[in-house]
Amino acid sequence: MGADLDRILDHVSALQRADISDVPETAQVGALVNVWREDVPAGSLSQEQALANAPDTDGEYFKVGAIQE
Amino acid sequence: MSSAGLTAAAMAAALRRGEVTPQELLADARAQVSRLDSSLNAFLALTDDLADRQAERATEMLRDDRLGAGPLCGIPVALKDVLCVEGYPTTAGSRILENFRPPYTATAVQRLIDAGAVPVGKTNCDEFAMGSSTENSAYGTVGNPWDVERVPGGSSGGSAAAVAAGMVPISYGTDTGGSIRQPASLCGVVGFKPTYGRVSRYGLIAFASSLDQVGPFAHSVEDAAVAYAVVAGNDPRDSTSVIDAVEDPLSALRDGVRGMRLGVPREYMGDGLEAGVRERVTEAIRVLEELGATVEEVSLPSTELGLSTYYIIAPAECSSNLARYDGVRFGMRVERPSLTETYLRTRDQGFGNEVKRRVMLGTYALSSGYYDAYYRRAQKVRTVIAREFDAVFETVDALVCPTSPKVAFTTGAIQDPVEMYLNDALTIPVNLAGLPGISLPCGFSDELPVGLQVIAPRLQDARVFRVAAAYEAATEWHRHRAPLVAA
Amino acid sequence: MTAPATVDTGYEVVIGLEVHAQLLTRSKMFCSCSAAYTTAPPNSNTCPVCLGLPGALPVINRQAVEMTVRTALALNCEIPPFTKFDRKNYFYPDLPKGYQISQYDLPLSQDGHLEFDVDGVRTRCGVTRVHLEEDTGTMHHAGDVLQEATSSLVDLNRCGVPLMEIVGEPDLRSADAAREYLVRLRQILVYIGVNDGNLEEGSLRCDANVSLRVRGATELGTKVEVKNMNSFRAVHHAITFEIERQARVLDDGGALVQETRGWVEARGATVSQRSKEMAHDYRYFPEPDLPPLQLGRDLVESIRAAIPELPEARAARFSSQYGLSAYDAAVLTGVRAEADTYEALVDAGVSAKVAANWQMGDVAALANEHHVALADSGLGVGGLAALLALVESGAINGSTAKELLSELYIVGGDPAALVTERGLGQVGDAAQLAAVVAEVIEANPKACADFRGGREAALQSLVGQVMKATRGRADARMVTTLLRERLSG
Repeated sequence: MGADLDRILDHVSALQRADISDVPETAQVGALVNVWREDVPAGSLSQEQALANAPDTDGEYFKVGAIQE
Repeated sequence: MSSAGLTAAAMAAALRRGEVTPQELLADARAQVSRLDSSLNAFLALTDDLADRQAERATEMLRDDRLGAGPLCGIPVALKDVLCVEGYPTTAGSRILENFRPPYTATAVQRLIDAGAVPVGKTNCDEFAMGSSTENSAYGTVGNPWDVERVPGGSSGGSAAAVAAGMVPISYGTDTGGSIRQPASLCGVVGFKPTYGRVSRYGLIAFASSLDQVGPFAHSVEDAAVAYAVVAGNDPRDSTSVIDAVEDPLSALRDGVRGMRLGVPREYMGDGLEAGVRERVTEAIRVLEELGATVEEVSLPSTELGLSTYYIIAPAECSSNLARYDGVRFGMRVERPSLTETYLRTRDQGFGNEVKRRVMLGTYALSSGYYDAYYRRAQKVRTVIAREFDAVFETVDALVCPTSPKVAFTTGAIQDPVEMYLNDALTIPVNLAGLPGISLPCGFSDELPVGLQVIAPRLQDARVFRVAAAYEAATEWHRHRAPLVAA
Repeated sequence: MTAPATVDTGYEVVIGLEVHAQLLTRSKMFCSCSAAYTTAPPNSNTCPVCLGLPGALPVINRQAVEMTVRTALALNCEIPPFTKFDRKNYFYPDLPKGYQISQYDLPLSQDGHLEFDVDGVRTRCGVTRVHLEEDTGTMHHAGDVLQEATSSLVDLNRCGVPLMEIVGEPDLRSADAAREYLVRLRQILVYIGVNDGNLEEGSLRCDANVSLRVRGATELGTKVEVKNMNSFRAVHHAITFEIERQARVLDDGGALVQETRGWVEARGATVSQRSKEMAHDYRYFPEPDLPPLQLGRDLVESIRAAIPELPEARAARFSSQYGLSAYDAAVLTGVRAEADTYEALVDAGVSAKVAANWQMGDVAALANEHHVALADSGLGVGGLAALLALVESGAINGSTAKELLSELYIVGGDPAALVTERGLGQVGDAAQLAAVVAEVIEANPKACADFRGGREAALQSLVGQVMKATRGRADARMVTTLLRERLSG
């Protein structure tokens, strides 16, 4: 794994050679702005649906193991 | 006689002539799957109840004019297993989602359902859409219908194979760096990646958010155009979805290329191409010239940087998109006493090596201290790449070039990740710039399919189909079927 | 409400407050689940988006953006033309996506300030930024102490509720200043209708960054973050404790650790908390699923125009317009609804002083007793205005009015009709009263003698007798006047 990652990093370091002095970043290609929705509540999943795929629950909550540091 | 291998258009015509019913088409699809899938492994699961209900519904819609049955009504389709279908396992080709049943359906799939299409099943793919051969699936590799010892391409290998094997006339995959176009090329079918934002990503299990797009596989350009149009259009649930109305891709489909200016990027015709690929594509370009297009060489100087750019941005976004796979609310969990250990063990066992590589790369690229040198820099090179396309499109209307530098390689032949990444060198820049692109069959090399790629400016999806349709109409490749299609 | 006296440790205290305020939107920040989650059964107020299911995508709540801009403007901030969301990546079970959608380098607003008084001294604290993000879910730990729990329970109902983060500059120099900043900030947030001001239940949260330095130094000392303060009092106590703790460490020549400490009310102390996130590097990058926001001039100005008169400005106007003392004006404008009620009373014809006295006095007492504000009571503003009109015209006296107010507050009714029906009219006829006064004087020789002997209190008891004889309806002032006349003659 490590060797693979090294190879990939070597490859992508080609980017360091690029001339990008005054170029802005493209975070998104769409040129969209102000896409939003009106503040109208709509239905939610039921508790059963929300928990349906969970590996461990107590019937109401998702259950996780001890949070140790 | 089985409908296997027919186009959707032919099936639709037969439905309307009353020669066949949706149930019969579905039965044919299932029979083909049954016959071939043990050697192809294109499907991960069949959506039987849904298919049966849809066949019923399609019958109703076809019977009653008021219900507006469209071109996909009653047509069997397959869906890459990264598209959520409520109540059915959706695995993204990964162990970590082995029994995940989404409580909701992807918008694109819902549009198909509303149109009366008949989803036969979920197709196999590289895990979380990361790969170029479908060898990264946790559920086994997929055979290329032209030679089952070879890969179908990836990541949408199952969807490409399902069409190429005549199981369904239309399937849907996703394309982030070439994952529709490249398998289409390797499987000898049409594969289309829409302009970024044209098809909703809501319900598509995310790999790289700014690159992913849903698109169709089909036997013909017209089928692909129809399949695209049914799912395309703004979705309020996807904030990146294009607002402007979709231009009907069928209206100019048969306009031909006379008078159009086509560009061939010199960087796409370089040394990395297999000889057979170069020959077929060159011939294809000549056909387009003979049809009346002017062809000129153009240059996209930063093409070479596309791979590096992509392999920073995509892993960066995916490292964040895959953070939700923590075993808490869904998916696999490897139980350990502490939360941290559960988390680490679950992801170590649940993710395959390619996914782990990309998550690690992505995390690295976004880390403090490296962000500027990697992620930010990559996003800038991305701008450069997009601008180069813009510049080229000032002088030409569309670009034509190969899709993949190779034809289908043997399963297991490529072990080096970087060598595998090179398969997408000619498709990746299109995703970086958010452009529409198609791959369609343009011949064979060593009896394996070669794909021709057509690329157009953003939002000019109809133009892609037009150029592709012109080439297709002047050639016979689209009539070829893999030998195993017929009984 | 006594706070421990602030001790001067000899160091300069530097405090910056970070406040998180849940917005009063109807739906969540990035999905249409209800934002009113507190009474819902666990995990019954979620959807694929706020559950972080594969394939789900966020969509911005426009009202949340507007409320944040409104807040920023009320805090004198600049609204930049371009702003975006970013992903803040870290792992914790109450963060389903493994990242929080927040804002990093281009927030919705920056460079504001808040003015308030600390012990009568005008103080200004800078506001670094106000930005928008989403709230996390909540966790319950089996057992009482997180570090000892063997398992934890996760509820995602709250996940995705819009959260506004208001970061104050480290301009505060005392626990008092910190409290006053928070009091004023809370008042404004409630005034402009973006937050319910509930520190106890956590819809408003405050963290403090506290550090000490030698007076005159320009560099900041080691910063300690203090969390878990659920009341103004707790904020004051916790900061005071922390100042003293840090001073002791420094005085002893020790070094302070940059850490997060939680206030533990029961111990009256801050206790070190180990960091809960798995990594401190949040790997911020622009949220690819959300296009940026460009808030134009027109939009910002329309939001500004809709901001109600803020408390300080309204209090100043009440003073000048209604001739109220600064104190009275502050009391009446403390809560916007109360200020609205006051002005409604005055608009209905009640004189400024009378309205102020009654609203701050008897009405406030009834509102507290019944947990119902006047505006929501059966009597209502209109009813009270009618009642006070009867007082001001002399139709009834003060004590009658009080009784009626008490009786009608919840059930409502027509005061004038009742007065007529029950014959509650004030007896103000001098001749009629004179007769009663004469009777009372004759019947109470000892009280009269006491009064003549200089005891003022005796007069009150005589007034009381007259009131009793008239069943409380006499005009008390007139009675007092008549008694004095009679008794001094």
